[in-house]
Amino acid sequence: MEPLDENELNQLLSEWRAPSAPATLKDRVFPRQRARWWRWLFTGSVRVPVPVALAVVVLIALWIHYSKPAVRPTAAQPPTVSLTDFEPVRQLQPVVLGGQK
Amino acid sequence: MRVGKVASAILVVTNLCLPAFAQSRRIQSGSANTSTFQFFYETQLDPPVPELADVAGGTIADDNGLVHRFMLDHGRRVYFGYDALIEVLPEPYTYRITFKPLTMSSQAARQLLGDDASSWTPLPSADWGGPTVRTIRMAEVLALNLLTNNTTGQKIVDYITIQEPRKPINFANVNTLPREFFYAPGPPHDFRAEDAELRIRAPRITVNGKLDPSTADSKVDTAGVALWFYLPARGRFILSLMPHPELGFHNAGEIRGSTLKFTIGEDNFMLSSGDQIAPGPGPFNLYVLHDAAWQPTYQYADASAFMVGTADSPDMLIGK
Repeated sequence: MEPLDENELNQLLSEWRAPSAPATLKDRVFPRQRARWWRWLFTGSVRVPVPVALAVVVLIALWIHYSKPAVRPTAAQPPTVSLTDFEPVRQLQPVVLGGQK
Repeated sequence: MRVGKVASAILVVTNLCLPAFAQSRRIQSGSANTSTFQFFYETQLDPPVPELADVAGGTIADDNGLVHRFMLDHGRRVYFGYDALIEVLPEPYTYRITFKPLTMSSQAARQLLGDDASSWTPLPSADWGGPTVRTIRMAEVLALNLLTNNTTGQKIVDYITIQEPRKPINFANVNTLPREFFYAPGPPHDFRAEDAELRIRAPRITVNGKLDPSTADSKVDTAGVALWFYLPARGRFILSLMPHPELGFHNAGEIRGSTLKFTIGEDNFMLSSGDQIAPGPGPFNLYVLHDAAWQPTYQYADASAFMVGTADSPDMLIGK
């Protein structure tokens, strides 16, 4: 087949009619009903200015830091001694206290 | 010794809640009264840490002037003590004291140690080189180094003094409190705010306006830099005049004369004492550390009973 020249192509182009839009196109471009609101929770996004985001992060960090319960010192139970750990002195030497200076 | 002449026998439970930073700690005190004198003692542990556990003590005196001073470890069934024979000298308020190792008749031993006295063991005691004699006057105090622990470097010291005998009770003195004896060894220092003590006597505690029944008959009379009480099902409350934020204390209330009050959560606590609680005339902030889970853990402790204790420093009570 011989290739068409420019005149023939222009003639064909003037005769061509664009097909009508498919029925589903309108639904895709203009949905009949809006998507359910909760889907936004999974697919939506929020644009936040960087200074605001940083301020929120700092506030959360401060809140976490100062909301920590005070750490009470839990002193380890100290060891004890018993009477059997002591031995009497070899020589009793009572000392009188409370004399006048 | 004729047990029939026993004039007095006083048992004193060891106070385990005393100072952390003091040079020594009072662990026992008491007295024995006769018709001619009154024997006072205060036992101190120096240094106070580690604590001496489960030791009680007391005195038995007869009308011949012989005082048996003893310490008991019921858990290990061990005892120790000494005899002090006290003679009243002609010079007023002057006494001669002769110290010897503890002696006890079998009858006295049964009275002191129970029917199974034979299962008790005395600490092996030296003879102290024979009797030791000292003469003291009114207001003088004798220090007796009794026991040493070579491992911890601690010693147990009795401070004793002799005073006039307790007067028979009559209409003139029926409301007079008996004399007590305290002794503070070591070098003196200037008084500091943290030395101030809280004192409560016969406390009654209300929670949200209702008397806690466990305190209805309390006759407690105690004092300390840190004072604590335990209410059944509510835990322990440690009270202090000093802030101590590092220990978790909060400014939770106030002290006014013989009354203190504080708030923990939704609950309002009021304590009415039989005497002024804080030294000085003014109202004071009250700092409180509450441990709701605390319960007494010592042997045979009654968790349903009201309890009170003291310490010379709040940190001595943390974790105990």
